[in-house]
Amino acid sequence: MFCFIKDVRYDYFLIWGNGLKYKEEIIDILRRKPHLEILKILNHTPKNIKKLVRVIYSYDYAPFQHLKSKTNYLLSTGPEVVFIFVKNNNVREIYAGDGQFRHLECEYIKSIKEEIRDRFNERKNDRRTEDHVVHASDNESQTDYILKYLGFEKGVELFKNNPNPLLSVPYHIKIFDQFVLKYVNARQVYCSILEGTRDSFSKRVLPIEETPHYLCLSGDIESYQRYLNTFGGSLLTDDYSVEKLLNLSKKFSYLEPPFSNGYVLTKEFEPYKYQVMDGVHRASILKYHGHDKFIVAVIK
Amino acid sequence: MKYSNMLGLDEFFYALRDEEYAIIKISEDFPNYYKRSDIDIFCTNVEEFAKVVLEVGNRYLSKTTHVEVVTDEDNPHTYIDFYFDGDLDFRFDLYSKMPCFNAITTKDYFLYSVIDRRIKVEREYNDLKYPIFVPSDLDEIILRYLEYMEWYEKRPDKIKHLDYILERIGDEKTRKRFLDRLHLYAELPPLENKNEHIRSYIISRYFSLPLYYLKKIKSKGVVGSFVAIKRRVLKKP
Repeated sequence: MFCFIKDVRYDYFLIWGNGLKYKEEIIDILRRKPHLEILKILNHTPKNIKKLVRVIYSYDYAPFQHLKSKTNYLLSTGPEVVFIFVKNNNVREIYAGDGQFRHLECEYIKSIKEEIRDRFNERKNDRRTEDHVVHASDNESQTDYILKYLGFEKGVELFKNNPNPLLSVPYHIKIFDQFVLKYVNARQVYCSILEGTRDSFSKRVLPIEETPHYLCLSGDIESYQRYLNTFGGSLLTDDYSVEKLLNLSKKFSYLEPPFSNGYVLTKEFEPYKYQVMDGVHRASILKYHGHDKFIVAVIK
Repeated sequence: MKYSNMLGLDEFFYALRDEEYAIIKISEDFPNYYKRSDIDIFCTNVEEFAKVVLEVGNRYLSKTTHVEVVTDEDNPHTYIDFYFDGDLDFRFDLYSKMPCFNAITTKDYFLYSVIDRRIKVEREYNDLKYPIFVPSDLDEIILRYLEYMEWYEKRPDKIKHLDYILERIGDEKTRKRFLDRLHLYAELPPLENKNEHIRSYIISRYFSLPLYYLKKIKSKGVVGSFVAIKRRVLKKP
């Protein structure tokens, strides 16, 4: 039996080196889960894969000696891994294991993890091997631990940041308590776009129609794909993809329920010029669909 | 004076019909209103309430209209101000906690009790019947009394609340119910710094001289202090 004490918790999935070739498919599986919200996708290259394995499983509830033999295969996989942090809106926690290894886990997360393993774990003699392509958190304290290990001091508190209670705004925006809703001309709206490489980059403020997002909608998919390939998983850790942008564009209706508070969030950086803080995709779609004016929220 | 009525308040409150709220001191003119007026509302869930207000408000936004929103966690108040041609036209003043009164302190759960005991007033919007919610008569009297007590020295116009109260608690039974409920939810604010007064009195009365000498000893050292005392004693006739 599971209990519904929590309505939301934060979990993570980890794609090991042997699963990276399925990265897009795995992220797509998570993206399609109605009760999961991808918050952060982070590429990580540990200095020592052995150490990372130890860190990941140090919080596991099985004896480490058992895990050691189970995780030997990881030492020969590539050093890069991908962490996908999610908001889990379908918490179905149960107690699993016995004795000192008894622990809390979410049946929903477990079922997704098994689904991915069934599809992508290597198969031998028509059976799934136990060389897992993904790992997932059993409970929120593991997510907290891993975030701190990766250098996010606040742990899961990072995701609990609610920049403004009235607006639908991602956790990484700073808290603000005053804003103005107004119509602005699309020509007054600018977007901050990364340039350069992952290791040596700068930001440039561009009109909407010069962004890779707008170019992608106009048919130049390559520009946006290159942008994501360069900065995705490092400087851009939200869940973006070409397919997601094109799908959003097809069925987009701005500020219609249930997204009636999903304003493009901006800041006035020069008189009558507004820089998008959240919503470059939405602003690009609006412009692409010929909306020369649209409502934005301006942080005061 | 002419009504402004740039916003259709029935349109807003029709959209808000499923929310848990109570309009405090509702104007007799409702849904008509004058420019620069406001409406005070207690809400169980301010965020949800405000989202609906903004959703309807989106329909009013234009080149000459904008909305200013202030949310403040410390001061549990949310303002949603509608401006037309740069002038404030109407304010939704939303409370998720009891406003702070200096004259009388109220218990926080009074707000929820007011919402629980709210009464329904039927209205119509586009030929559709819908309810708005206002406090019960007794709660309305208490709220006006609190406001009158808070402001009567500074705002003579608040005398209207006293008139309202006196008109409605004419009989003995209502007066008793009013006082019972007031005493349940309100109390006089604690005397500020009472302990502080006592502390400073004790320090000045009993400890100031020893503290003075301790300071001297600290600055001159033990030997230096004895020398100073000796000099003073010898100087005395």
